[in-house]
Amino acid sequence: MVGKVLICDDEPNIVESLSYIVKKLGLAFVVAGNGVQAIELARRENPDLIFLDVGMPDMDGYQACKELKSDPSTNTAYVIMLTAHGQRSDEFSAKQAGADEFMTKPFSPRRLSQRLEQIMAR
Amino acid sequence: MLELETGQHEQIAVQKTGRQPLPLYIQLTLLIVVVLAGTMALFVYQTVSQEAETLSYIYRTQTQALAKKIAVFSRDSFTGGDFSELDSMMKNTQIPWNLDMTIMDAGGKILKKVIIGRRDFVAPNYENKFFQPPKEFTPVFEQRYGWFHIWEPVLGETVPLGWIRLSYSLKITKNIEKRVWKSALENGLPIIIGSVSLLLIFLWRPIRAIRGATDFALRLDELRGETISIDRSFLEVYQLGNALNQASLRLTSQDKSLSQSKERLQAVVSELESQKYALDQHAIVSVVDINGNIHYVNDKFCEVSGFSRDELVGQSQLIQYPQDYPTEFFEQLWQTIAQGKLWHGEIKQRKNDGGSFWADTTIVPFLDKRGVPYKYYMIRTDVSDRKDVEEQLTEKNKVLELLRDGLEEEVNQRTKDLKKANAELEKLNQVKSEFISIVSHELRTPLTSIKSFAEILYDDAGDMALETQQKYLSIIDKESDRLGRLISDVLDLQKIDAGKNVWKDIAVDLNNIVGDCAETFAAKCKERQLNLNLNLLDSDAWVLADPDKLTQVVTNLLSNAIKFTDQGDIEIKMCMALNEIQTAYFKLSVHDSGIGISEQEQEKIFERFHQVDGSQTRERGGSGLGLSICKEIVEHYGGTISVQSVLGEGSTFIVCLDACEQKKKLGEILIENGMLTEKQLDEALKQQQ
Repeated sequence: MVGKVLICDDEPNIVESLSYIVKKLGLAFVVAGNGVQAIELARRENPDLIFLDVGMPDMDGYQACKELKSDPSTNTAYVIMLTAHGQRSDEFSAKQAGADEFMTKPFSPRRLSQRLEQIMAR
Repeated sequence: MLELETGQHEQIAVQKTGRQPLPLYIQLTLLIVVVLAGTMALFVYQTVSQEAETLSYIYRTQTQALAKKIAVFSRDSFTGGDFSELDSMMKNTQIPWNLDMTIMDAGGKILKKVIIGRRDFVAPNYENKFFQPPKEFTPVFEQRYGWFHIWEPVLGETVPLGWIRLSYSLKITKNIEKRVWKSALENGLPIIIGSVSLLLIFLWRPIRAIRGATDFALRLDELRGETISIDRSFLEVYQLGNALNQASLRLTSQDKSLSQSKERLQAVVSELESQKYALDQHAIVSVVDINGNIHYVNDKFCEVSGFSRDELVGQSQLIQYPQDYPTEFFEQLWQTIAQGKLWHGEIKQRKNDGGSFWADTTIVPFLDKRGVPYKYYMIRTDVSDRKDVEEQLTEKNKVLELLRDGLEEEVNQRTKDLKKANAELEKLNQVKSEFISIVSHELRTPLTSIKSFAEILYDDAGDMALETQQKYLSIIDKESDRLGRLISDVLDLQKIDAGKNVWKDIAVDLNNIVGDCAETFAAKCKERQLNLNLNLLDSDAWVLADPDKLTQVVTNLLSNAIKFTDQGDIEIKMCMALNEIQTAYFKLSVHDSGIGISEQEQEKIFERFHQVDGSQTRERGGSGLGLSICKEIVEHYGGTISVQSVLGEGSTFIVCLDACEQKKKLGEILIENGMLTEKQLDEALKQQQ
């Protein structure tokens, strides 16, 4: 499978697990530790898909998502927001920010990779 | 009730009293009869008197001639005394009326009486004394007692011989009257009857019409609106009929408006009566004249005041007020109403039994055409009950006001307290829900790593290098620890918040606790190549606290210091000081040469789940609750915890806790147990001072 994924989370272990899943599918990936870095990397690397954590220092996921979606050079990327706050209001905020998908932590790597295959197949 | 029809009844009554005139036809009949009869009488009288005069002249002259003849003839008889010759002569004399002949001697003595002629009348039997012959012997005529008498002397040659008297009744002339009258009546009556009959025939129609009109007029009340047929025999009757018909029609038209106005009037009257009745039920009413004398009082007045009507009417109105009433009040009142103005107010009224009542009074002056009052209506309501209640209320109000003021103050105070408590509760509630939200987030984060790697290992362990497997397993291991710590920290905080924490407070030596903790961390410092400098007090540092909690505080601070310091020193220092109220307290400072905390962050680090730098803390495995727990514990013991830091140079955490007075007691206990001598204790105290 061909494609590039941007993983953005401040929790190193979660970055580790996400990158394992992405790597296993044969996709290339880059990692950002916060929102500012994520935007910078997205512009540079032009990823097909972005995993975006919500609770991050400097710039939170919603803000980052808004900026990504308003920038024509990055708005084609499929954005999956990941958060440990699993409430309706969070999902609503994610949709408002323009995210394509909303996932709660903890997630299942098995199901996530299936979903990734579907998304990347498009 | 007002009698509306009284006037009409009176008028009709007046017409009916007094003499009723006779009907027209009778009057006219009488008039005709009187006129004709009068004419007849005049005619009869003239006829009779003419005839009577003629007749009486004839009678007299004939009788006179006869008397003279008899006197001559009877002269011889007188002398001879034999009157038979005379008698026979007389009998042969034809006279058409009756004639009495009396022969008397010269002395008046009746010698013979002879009745000559018809015996229609009988002369009265005159007595001599009333009927003496005249003195002189000359013929005399005399009319007496309805009879005509002729005295004829019988003269001898020398001496008078006697008298011949001839008498006839004057009634013979009356016979003539009777006859004339009879013939007059026989001729006149048919004329009278004929005239009257003609008249009646002529008058019959108009009279009938007038009667009909009269009847109609009498029954006009019930026949109003109807008309009668008009008789055209006379202009007057015709006009009368017309007028009546018009009147009848006018009546119906007037009836409507009259009945309407009557109804209105009656409604007004009945309304007025009702109002008066209602007013009398409620109000005390009196009428006072211009001089201030009571003219009228209603029953209610008597009932309330206790005076009888006779006691009030005619008296000055001042009788109804208590005598101690100020005169100026009445002067003012009287001045107002005398100007024709309404007066309203409350007056205290006198009762007959010496008591009084309050009356809400309205005085209405009634003005004449010049605008000057001629009477005053005084309408009152007994408001004594209300006045009493008012007075009581005023009293009660005063008390209530005092009470209210007190209550208000209390309520205000309580409201303030409640508001404060409410605000605190709200804040607490908000903090709590935020806390729960954060806790769930914080719990899910390590759980995510554990779940992810557990699943990855389960699926892919067979294809994985052993090193990778170990790496992932160690992540699971560490994250499990983190989860465990988090849970216990959360529980700790929850216990403190809920007040369920068990504080096993005793007098403990803070020096000891700090020393023990430093020892536990010595190995770790060595491992990270950090210098751990421990600077404790020489004396004991007694504080009253749960040793486990204090250990938790010191451990937390030391663990933080080591965690955020990559190289340099960790310095722990204990000292004692006096605060502004001269109480001794111990000060523990933990200094590191670590990454430091910015000024902004310094304000927030004691907040729950606040971590200075996400990535770093996570790398260093903090829960974000340690400092919060420290703060809760220290503040529970009335102490303070604070931080001084310069970013990049290091941080110093300072904990202050009050010294414990238990120290001495503990010393005493130790002495009692033979573990310490008094001397040693005193020395220890002195040293401390």
